[in-house]
Amino acid sequence: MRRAIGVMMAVLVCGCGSRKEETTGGGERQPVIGVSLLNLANEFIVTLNVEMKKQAEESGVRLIVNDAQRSAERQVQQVETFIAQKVDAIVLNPCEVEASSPAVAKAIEAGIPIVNVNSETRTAPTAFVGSRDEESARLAMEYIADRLDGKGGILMMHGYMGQAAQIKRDAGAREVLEKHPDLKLLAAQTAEWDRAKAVTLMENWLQAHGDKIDAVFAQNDEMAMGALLAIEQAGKKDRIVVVGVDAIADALKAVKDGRLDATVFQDAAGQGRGAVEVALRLIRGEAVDKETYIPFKLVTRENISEFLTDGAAE
Amino acid sequence: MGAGRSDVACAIFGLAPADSGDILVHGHRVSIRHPRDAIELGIGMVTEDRKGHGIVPDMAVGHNATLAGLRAYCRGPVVRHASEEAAVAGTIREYAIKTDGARQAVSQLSGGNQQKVVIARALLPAPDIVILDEPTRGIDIGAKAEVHAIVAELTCRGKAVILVSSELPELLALCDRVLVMRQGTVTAELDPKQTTQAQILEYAIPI
Amino acid sequence: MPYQSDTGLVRQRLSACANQLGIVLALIVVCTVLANRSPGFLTYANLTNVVRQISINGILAVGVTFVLLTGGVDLSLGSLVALTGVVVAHLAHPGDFPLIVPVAAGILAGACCGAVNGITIAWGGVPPFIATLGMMTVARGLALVLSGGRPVSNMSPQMARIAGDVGPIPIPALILAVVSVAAWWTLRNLRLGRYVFAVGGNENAARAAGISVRRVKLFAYTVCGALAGLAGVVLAARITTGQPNAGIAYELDAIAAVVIGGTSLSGGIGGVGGTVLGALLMGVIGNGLDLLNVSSYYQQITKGLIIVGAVWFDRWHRKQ
Repeated sequence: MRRAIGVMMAVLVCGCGSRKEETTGGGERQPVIGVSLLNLANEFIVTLNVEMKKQAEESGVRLIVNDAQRSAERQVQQVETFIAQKVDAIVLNPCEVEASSPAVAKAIEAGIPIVNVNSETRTAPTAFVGSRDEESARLAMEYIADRLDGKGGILMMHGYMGQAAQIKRDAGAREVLEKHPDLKLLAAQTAEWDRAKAVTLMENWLQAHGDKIDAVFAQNDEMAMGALLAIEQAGKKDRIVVVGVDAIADALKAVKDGRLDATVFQDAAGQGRGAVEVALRLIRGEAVDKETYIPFKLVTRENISEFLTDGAAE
Repeated sequence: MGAGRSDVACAIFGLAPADSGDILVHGHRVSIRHPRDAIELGIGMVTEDRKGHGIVPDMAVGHNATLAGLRAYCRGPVVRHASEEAAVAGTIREYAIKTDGARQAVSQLSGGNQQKVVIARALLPAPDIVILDEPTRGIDIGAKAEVHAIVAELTCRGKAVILVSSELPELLALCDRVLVMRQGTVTAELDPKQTTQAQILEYAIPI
Repeated sequence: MPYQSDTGLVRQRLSACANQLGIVLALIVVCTVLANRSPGFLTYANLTNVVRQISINGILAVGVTFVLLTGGVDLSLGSLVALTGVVVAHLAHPGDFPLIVPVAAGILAGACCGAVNGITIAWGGVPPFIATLGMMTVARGLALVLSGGRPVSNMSPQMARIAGDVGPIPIPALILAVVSVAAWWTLRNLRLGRYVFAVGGNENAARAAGISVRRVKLFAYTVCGALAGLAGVVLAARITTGQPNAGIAYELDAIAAVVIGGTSLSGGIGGVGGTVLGALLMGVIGNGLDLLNVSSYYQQITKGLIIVGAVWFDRWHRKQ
């Protein structure tokens, strides 16, 4: 009995001790960064989170990670809590351009550096690390234009209407369409970033447009995979080019297997690590670029091997 | 009347919990915690409120009638419709239930006929003990007479009938024994042949 | 038979059929309009698509019919579809287990969650809205935990085959047909089925007739959960992954199909036939609007208006 108590006390003391070490490592207080993420039920954001944690560990920074679960209101509350906790910096993965802006404003007012990652807000943050969504769509559509020799019928699958990514990818795609007058947009509809909805939509599109379809551009890989399933089931894959965005593991495998024609790699590691690095520099009072753009990369069968090692490591 | 008669009746039938006391059936103490227990012990009940515990309004007349004794028309878990329909036809005849057919929704029947369906339901499992709580309240004279005839027939066949009623003429006419309750306790046991309405009231009305 | 009038019986039968009249009418009208405006609608391939596409919602709707008939509701359907899909996907990697294992596991997982709902509601006395709302969030969370927030991929081709065709007929549609017939048979021919209607029609009367209301509710919610599990199996096969985010708002579509089909939200009236018709109507509308390339904003408005319209007509007609 006494031995059991002794063991328990030892465990408790060790537990308390290790927590103290975290905050006093090396005599200087460990910087604390508050992170509010859009939605941890989204694969890309999950990767973003993982990369941020890795960078934080390597740089000796402590992260407090909150999930806003797609609610801008909850995001503002989370930032308010960070401010009250007196964190050293905040990394914000905004839910919405307008509705998440108050969070940014409050942080700046409180004098806490705030870095936006991946998406924008109307209120300008201290710094931004992300990618230009228009670029991803441009890369995808240029690839399609190339494959079709500038001529053919195209279908576009949108994400949730009104979200920043959807608006920008739509804009980027249309830019390319304007440059190639013989590329015809047969239809554009939303499948809400959802694979199941994309399957149904593609089935119905195959009915409506039949052989006029030469390519499908889906604004994210989940929808591209869904479209792919429908096209394969209808036995029309050899006639239709399918391209997505994000380079999720499933998509990379599909490119490697020769099923998906191309996807666009959104560098979650680059964005996540970049955001933490920038935040750390701001804490230390060093100079940073106001905007850091991490480039997208087109992924096709030719260069798939570069990306697979990243994908496999997840 | 707030004397607690319905409470006692419901407690015997398992519809309401009993605070204390024992129930003895044929001399044996039994535990009744759910109407199913009561029905299995051969007790049937027609409650005071037709709409509350009585009819399932949108369900067919036939299905309402067999609800308490459906097992008898089943092989295992499966209902044998032919035997059920035969029993229902017989029941409708026996109780003279005025309906457009066994499939008519019971909510479309008159109050008196609805009451007959509820009585039929209670009696279909052939219980030895039948509790009737205000069975003639709110129904027309013709149906009332028919209910009295049913009670008489039951006693004729040797069944035990517990009739809860506020209609004193009814009690004096039908019963062999009258128990009067006041505020939760039995205040008197009277012989109807030697008692008047005034006497019953004396024991019933709170002081 | 002195107390059964023949005209009365005929009127009964017509009335029962006419209960579905509003929905059938709407279905005919919509199909006619679509066939007119879109050449691709009345083709065999498209109609097969429609039937395939309504399968998942149809299976969910048949399941929740049981719950609605008892006067309850189940908001957790979508989350159960996601959870069971994740479970199935984990067990359906190539070469892992024979097909029956992931399929049975999915249905079982759904049934367990349904049983938990039933126990919470029938024994705990928690209102169905709250109990199933709780399950909705718990199951979604479990799905995220079991999948790490990412789709579970690498599904064996045999598993994916479940969403394919056998000859000209889509397998999911076959599953829906079998489920519908089994459910219809249960409600009509099993004692428990009769009790479901009694509990929904008047719980107190059911109890007074000796029916164990609790057990009947447990039965209804467990069946509903099991069918949600089956729907999860079909969905996972259709998208070849187990997605923790799948199924969002599926319960609303399922309940809409049931209500359109004539089952009353207060319980006691309705059935499987109407449910299937309701699911069909909703599927046809969605398919048609896609074929006509109607923008998704207008699709939502149209869908909502048709649903309310069909139910309004049905209620009005019932009062006649």
